[in-house]
Amino acid sequence: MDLQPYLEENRRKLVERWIDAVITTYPPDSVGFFKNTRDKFANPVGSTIKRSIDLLFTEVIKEKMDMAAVQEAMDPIVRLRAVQEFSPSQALSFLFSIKPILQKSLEKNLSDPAVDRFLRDVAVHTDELMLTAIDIYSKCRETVFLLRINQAKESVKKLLIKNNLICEIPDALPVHKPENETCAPKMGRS
Amino acid sequence: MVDILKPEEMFNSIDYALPKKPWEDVPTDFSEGTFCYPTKKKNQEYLSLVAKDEWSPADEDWKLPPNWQEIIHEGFKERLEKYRSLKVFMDICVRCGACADKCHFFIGTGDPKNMPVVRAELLRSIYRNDFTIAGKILGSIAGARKLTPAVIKEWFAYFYQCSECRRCSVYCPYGIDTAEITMMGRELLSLLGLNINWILEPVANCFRTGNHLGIQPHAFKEMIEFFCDDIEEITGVKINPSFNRKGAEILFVTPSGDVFADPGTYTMMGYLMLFEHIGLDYTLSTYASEGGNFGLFTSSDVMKRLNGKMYQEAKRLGVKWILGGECGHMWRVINQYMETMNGPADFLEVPKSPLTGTVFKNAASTKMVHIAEFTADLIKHNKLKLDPSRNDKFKVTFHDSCNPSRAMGLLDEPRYVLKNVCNHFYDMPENTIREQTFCCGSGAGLNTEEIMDLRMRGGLPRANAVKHVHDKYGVNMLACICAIDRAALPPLMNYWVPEVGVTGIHELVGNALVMDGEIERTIDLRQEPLKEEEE
Repeated sequence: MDLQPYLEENRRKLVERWIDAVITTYPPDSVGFFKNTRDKFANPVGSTIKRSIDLLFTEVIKEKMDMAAVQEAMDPIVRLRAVQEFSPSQALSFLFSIKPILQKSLEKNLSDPAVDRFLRDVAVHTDELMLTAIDIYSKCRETVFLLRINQAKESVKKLLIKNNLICEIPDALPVHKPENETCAPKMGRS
Repeated sequence: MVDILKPEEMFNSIDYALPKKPWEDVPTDFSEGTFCYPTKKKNQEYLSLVAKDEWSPADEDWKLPPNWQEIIHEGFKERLEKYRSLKVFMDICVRCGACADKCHFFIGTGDPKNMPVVRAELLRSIYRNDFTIAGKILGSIAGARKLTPAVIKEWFAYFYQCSECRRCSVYCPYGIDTAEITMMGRELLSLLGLNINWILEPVANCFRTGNHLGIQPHAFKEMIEFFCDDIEEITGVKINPSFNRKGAEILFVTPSGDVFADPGTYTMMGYLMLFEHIGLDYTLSTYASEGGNFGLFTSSDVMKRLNGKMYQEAKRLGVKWILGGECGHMWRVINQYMETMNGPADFLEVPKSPLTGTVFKNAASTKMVHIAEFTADLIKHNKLKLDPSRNDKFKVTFHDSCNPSRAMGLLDEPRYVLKNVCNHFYDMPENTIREQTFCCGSGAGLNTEEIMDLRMRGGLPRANAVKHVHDKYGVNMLACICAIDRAALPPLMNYWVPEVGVTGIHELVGNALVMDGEIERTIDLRQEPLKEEEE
């Protein structure tokens, strides 16, 4: 079986199935909105998902993935799901959905060696996608926690400094020689 | 934008799946990070509000008072009699769904209870049950439901997941103001002692010390003097503002965020430079040292008290009128509630710019002018010498802060100022600005760190539009005219579009302003090189 023409012909349908797999992780009342509102400013969640999945699909079916392109495609969708109400596994499990989608689509040709090799490649690629996603997800969570810490830290810091309630070491220390050598710390017994 | 779907696409897009449970039966999630922390009892006591012992929304039992249902019923009844608008909003919604996908919290979360219609329904279902015949007889068939502790929990979760930005009301064919529904919901919760700390502590501080953080008068004065030292270092011009000066023509009131939190502090420096340059006869007050009014997020009584304080100070000092800084919700209180709460400020004069002679008739009742209008008027009359090239390293866009845009129609003045003080200005897409502006995601007292995730998803639609102008035009600075924005947008940008900074418009005015007797400027108000090449 010649896979490339098949995948090109069915691309739209396959991508849409993958998108559906992501969108159905949201509450049923919101699925229609995320799926059908096309204005990307009115519906940033839906449009981010669609764009990322479309780009990821391009990569996952390649013989060799372009990891820079994967990174670029993955960041928006993971950044989004990292702050939505999902557990880490729920947030990223959508990546595995592409495997059964392709398997089902090719189920009549599973005995074809080309198809078998293709599906094995896809499985390996999906693992790579997941590893990339985990890195991005962790970074996003770290950022959120840093933002929380910074807000708590910075909220009154300036006030404390300005009012001389705390005195930090200046960026550039004034250079001066000690007037009395005896001020230097002594080591051991005198 | 209307997309015409082909019939086949249309059929394919229909989702016949029913929600697994009706919205009423979906329990509210109170895991850590989903809720704002409750307030401390001392703050409630200080404000003579219902005080509640320590509790957490994560607790199974919220230990409501024994007669809590009666308290809510009576409180609801009292408000329905007092506010005709509430009664109308409870009755009039036809559930057309125009508002459903307009809330930034819905857009970012997909949680149906964040649809404004459902948020209102949280209250409306109890209204039907307690106050309508159909609801009393038909119960759930008429959309009524009994008041249970789970309903109170749901109210707490979702009325503190609304930033009272009023974007939804722009689209409502009946003009239902969901912000007012949220306000009523929060008032009712307050009757049970259910307040959040990020709102009530600033309110208590403001009531006692004069500002949200509890900065005492001497510290407030010293902060301003430090800014003056910084300004002298940058421009060579010495500024001597006055404090609590009786007989000044104008009282200047701004959010205290401009005094203690970056990047608001640079905006404060911009105001001080502008006033010095035009020789304005103004004074600052260490008592009315807060423009913000978190009473708006608490209850009408508290809002009234905090608003009254500012005008009391204007009266005591004998000023002619009040000039207000770049603040958001303060302006909603002044433009839409003050007159019926505290009455028109008849003891003051209708504001008139001492430099241009412009009479601000729009402020004939409130006697308070927004600084964006004031500065735009100065520029229009060529009263300022400006060098916009000093802001050339910035490619600027403007975030219409919810309240100045939707509660007072301040849409063109800030843009006019920006276009005069910087050479590179790019607006965001039409459906994300002006009346349709998206909230920062942290308004109405939600700017607290424990719900950072919620703030990030609520702010997504705004950040998404900023990202668009960043990608398309290289925008690297987001200007706004609200202190909450100046606090909320930096982390939002940091998460979604880290290349974009945040500024008030008067920081950019301060950079561009050519002052009498100034030295050659090499650094901006942040003490960073004016031109990128010099970095």
